[in-house]
Amino acid sequence: MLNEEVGQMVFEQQVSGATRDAIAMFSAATEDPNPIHVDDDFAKECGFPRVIQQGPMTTAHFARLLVERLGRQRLKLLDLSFTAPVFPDEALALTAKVAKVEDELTLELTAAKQDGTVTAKGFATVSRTPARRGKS
Amino acid sequence: MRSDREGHVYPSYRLRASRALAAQYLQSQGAAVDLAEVPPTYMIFLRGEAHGVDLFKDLDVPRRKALHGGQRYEWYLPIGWDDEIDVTARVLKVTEKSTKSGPLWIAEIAYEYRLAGSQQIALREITRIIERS
Repeated sequence: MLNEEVGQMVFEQQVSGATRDAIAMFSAATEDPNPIHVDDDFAKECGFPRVIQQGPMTTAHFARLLVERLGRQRLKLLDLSFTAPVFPDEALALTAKVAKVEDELTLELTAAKQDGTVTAKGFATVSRTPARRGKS
Repeated sequence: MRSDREGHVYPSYRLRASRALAAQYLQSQGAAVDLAEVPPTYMIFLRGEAHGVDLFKDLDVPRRKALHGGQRYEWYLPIGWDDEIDVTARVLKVTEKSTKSGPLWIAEIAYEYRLAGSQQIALREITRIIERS
């Protein structure tokens, strides 16, 4: 149950690293023609040691987890900046924490690798539960 | 990157969510394939490329120098499986930023997803494309 207090963790969730096949499948599912996600040689030409995971996969994880925890109707806005590449099989820790309580809740979002490298950060806006609106 | 494309609006295109693609989309994330609703970020700018919104070519960004800087989704109305969606893309702004490793150019492109019947806005997505020097 979300108490809607600043600092409260909405979720702290580990997501498994995406395999190369999963990354290729995500490209197919999003109709993404960029070879950087499927072709190691092309990724090297771009300055990466191997293919990289799509930033939108992190966005999709956050959206799904927020919907699972809070319900689809409450999700209003999600804004993420991708700050470091994610490579195949790298697990990510995704966190969402209440940062502001106003008419809506602002959640601070962070995705990080196991070594602590932050790969995405941003925020989400969700509506408050009717029972809690006006109590803070 | 072509800053003169600021304000450019692409011809709109029509989409309908595909259950087959959505299933792949969820499966690739290691998520349960629950198709009760269209996944919240199923609609994505990448689908525009097949409909003439070729940002990399149009903004003159070589793919080898391109990075995806980020995404913003604003949800207004639910999108159902049977909804036809008219999508319009607009180049909001192109900015140059100095960094230690040289200049970067950032383009922000907004995609508006409207229900084809009522033309009510259901979703707005902003994507940020970066070109490294």
